[in-house]
Amino acid sequence: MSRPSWFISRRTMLRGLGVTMALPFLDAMVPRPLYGADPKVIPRKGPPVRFGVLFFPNGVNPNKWTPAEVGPFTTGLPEQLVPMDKVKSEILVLSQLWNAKCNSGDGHYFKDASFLTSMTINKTVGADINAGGTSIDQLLAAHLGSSTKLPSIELGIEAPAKGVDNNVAITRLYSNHIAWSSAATPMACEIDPRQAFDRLFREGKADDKDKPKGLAPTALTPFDDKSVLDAVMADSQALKIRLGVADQRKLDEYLTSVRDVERRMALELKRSKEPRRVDPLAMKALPALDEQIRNIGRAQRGENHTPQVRLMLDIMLLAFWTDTTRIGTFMFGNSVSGRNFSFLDGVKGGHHDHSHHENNAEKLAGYAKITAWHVEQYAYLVERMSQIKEGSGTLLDNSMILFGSALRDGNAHSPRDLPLLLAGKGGGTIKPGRHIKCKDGTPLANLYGEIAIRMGLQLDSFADSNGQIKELAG
Amino acid sequence: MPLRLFLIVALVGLWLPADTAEDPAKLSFEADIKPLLTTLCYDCHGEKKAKGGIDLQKFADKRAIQRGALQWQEVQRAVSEREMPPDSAKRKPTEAERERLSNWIAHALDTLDPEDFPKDPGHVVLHRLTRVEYNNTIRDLLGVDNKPADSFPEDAGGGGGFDNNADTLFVPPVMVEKMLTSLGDVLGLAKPEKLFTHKPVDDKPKSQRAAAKAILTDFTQKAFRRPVKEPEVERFVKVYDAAVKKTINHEDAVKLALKTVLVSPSFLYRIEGQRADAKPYEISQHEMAVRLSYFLWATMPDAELFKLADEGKLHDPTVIEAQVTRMLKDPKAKALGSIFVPQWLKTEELRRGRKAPDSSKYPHYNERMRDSMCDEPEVFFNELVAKNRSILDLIDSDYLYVNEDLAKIYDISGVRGNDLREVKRPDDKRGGVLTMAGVLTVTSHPHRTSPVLRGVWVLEQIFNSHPPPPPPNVPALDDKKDGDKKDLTLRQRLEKHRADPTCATCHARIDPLGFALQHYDLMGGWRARDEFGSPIDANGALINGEKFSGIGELRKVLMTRKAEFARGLTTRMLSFALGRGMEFYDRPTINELMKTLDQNGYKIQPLIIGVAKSFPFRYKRNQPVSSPQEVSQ
Repeated sequence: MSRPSWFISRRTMLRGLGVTMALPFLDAMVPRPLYGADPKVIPRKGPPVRFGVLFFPNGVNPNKWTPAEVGPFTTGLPEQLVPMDKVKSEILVLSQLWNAKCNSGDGHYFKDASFLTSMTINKTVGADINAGGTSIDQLLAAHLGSSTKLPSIELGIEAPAKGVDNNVAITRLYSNHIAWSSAATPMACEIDPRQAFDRLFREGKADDKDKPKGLAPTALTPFDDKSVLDAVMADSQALKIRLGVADQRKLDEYLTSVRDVERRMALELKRSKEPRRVDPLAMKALPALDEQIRNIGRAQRGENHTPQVRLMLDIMLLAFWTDTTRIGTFMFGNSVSGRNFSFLDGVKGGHHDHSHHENNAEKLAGYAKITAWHVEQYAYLVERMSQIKEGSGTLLDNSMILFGSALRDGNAHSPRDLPLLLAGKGGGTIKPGRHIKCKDGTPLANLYGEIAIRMGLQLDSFADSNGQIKELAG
Repeated sequence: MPLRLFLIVALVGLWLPADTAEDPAKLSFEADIKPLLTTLCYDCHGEKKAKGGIDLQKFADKRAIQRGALQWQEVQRAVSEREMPPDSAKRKPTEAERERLSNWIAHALDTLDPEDFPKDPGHVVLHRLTRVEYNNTIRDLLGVDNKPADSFPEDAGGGGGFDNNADTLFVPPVMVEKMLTSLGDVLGLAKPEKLFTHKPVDDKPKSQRAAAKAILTDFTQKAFRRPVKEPEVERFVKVYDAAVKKTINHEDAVKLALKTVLVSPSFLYRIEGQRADAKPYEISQHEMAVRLSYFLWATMPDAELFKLADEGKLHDPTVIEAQVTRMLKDPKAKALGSIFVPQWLKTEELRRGRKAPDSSKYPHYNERMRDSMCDEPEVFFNELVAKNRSILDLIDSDYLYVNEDLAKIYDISGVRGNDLREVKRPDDKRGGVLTMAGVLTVTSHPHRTSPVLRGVWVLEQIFNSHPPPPPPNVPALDDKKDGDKKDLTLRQRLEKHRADPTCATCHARIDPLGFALQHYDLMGGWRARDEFGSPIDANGALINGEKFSGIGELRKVLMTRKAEFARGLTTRMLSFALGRGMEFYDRPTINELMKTLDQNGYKIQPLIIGVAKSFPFRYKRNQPVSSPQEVSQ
């Protein structure tokens, strides 16, 4: 039997889990670095652990989110969580976590852009974009991403917002990104399922009958593009000397990306000589999804965009299943998204409009329905992942799929007691199926520390983290 | 006082910060401002303690503050936005004190003495081509119009609000991948005569290499939009050599080298050289050609601009003027309307599907209708430019551009077909951008119109005035106290909202402007009743209780504020032309351009020419002044 090595049945536990989080930094007058010490990669055995984030904007109806009881779900779930009922044994409800450093600023951009950085963004109309730090997904991708074709994927469904929100004097750029590869470098979301699929899974161009045969048609061909990038690097270095500091910084962005792609090509070249370790069932699922993408068009305006969202979630699932990447984020919408949800019964109009409910009963009801729809999509992904066998468990068992918004109540815009769900067992180190009520004021960054160590990266601290969340293990 | 004048005076009050605002020019730093700074700021930001390295006490007088304008504009922002003093401060300012401090700083920064503050053209960082610019440049360079950059991540923009803002144009790894892929397609589609501009005299490797080098020399100059030196070309010839060594044939090897040129930063970015000079300096001839062509055409310079740059003529203002006039006659100048206008008026949100009326209620809003709505302001603007009309036509015009779809919405008969054409307006319900269907649709919710959104749009888009943000965490209105809100009309609810003093100041500015547009439904059609069945009440009640009514009176009032409109449009156009946000030192340029408009009957071409001849468009300095924190050290 030619099963890949990490499919070998094995009960896995992370070593050193929970003993590595350091005390928080003392508040210092100087800007302190984001991380205590250099993050340390801890080699782990067994199937790889995946980390997915499903982000949604505009918060939730605060009255119908948190289960009254703590611990296992014995009574019914609150209205907005009902759609996850059939997979509730796979999911943790986390309450009382908060993202302190984005408490100031405006109601949306500060919150959303720092959802995965737990830092404070620089308020700007554009001249000095700064998210305060690298987001947790990108930090993991930077340290652990070299073992897969892509270090991470960033998916979305909504066209990016443009220009400046003059109401708060902030560039809308912040609204389009939760993933930051550095404080000043946002990662763009792929919003077209076709392009996302091709980037992840297409090898060669067999499918593209309409397109002409050009030179070096695919991004990752062995000789051609590598030589292009090598030459470009040389050209850029010569250019750089002639530039001033600010221009050099801009050119460095470009060079970092070129180097990144170059390195990936080299790795891909090496990997292509090794046998691929992919579940044959996953290989079968690929053409099926390809076909589906062809059949489902782009959602128009007020139309029900559930099919498009599911395509994106299927793409993330297959990316994890085929081990094309182990880290992925998906944005249901950008900050302040006004997406029209009137395809849902009882909802009239846009998401953001509903979130400003002013305690109006009708608006609150519609708001809850919009959130429930988001939970339903999450439950779809969780359920599918729980049905895929991997090793002695399931793909979901070897994953951590976080679902959440960066503010709680869209009417109040507070980043306290965030609405968060975490699915999967993180390689057998998390016991789902419960409501964990953390101590009031527990930093969200503590959760990111827990996620990082389960992925194999030990962080002394992350942003404002100050400890562990031991309850995850049950 | 005649009624009209009275009305105007009443409406002027709309744009003032508050009824009782004191004149900051009459305040003295020593007597009025320093005591405030002493009690509110110096404890933490003074000689003894300078939190965050910020010492405000060292600015001893008004001049010093003006000299430190960059830092003080931050102080002003922090004060006006209630960021400072922080919640934890021992003493917090009253609202009146906060306003006095903020207004005085703003005024001081706004009235700079040119002797103290030398002219500053600013610095634009390396300017990555936007997606549209990339597509156009590939089209003009290789004759391939397959829009390769459409697969790149979208450009978000910032600064002056446009997506050509250099600071917010990034190159993420995914873009590098897509560039490599799409350039393969582009080179596959290009006609051979565009690529192989030099033929080898025979099949010998030596003559093939000579041809490749000649091709690359020509191509690199065009692609980089400037003269190139031999070592630069050599680097690309090396790619050719390496490919040939790998037994790739001559033509494919040339293509690979061409691809390398197109992936190079010198193609992807608009790069302006640096000079060893602390003072502002005039940009080079070729850099000027590039700025002109990307401003007006969103693409690379044409042969004539190249030639003038080669001949060293593009520093001559009369040549610049002649070139702008010529360029505006070229069909490529439509880029101005199609790029500048939708981002200025926000109709791009419709075009990209970020906003739309609800499909179940408005089934006749389809893609064709959407395109008509979005085309109208763009065509209007391009015709305004082509015919050198007055920018005031944007507020009120007696002509419209309509096709059959739009004519239906506007209740105009006898228009057939999809092409937009100029027609006389039947009555003053239409005219200018305010009453365009696209504008009225993008300022509506999917289910209903919004006087607030429309009011904010008028303030921002027409006057470039930005209402301050609502205070964070606005408490929710208590339903029980208000009674059942379902019984209230939208107007009554907004009036209730304004009863709250925290909301009143801004909404008293915003709402009346929106109510004047209430006769227009969600897609811009005229209506007598709103979506809840209430008869339209287009009266606006102002802060001081004065009333006005409808679009006609609104437009007349806007016309009396034409200088502010001109300032708004000028600021945006300069920002768009430069690809950066406006800074305090740009104010003299904007003031000069406004004078040009005033002297030329508000015609648009003198404004565009003025921008192209302006100091910041023709000059640059080496580095941006360091960030405020660094300055304060």
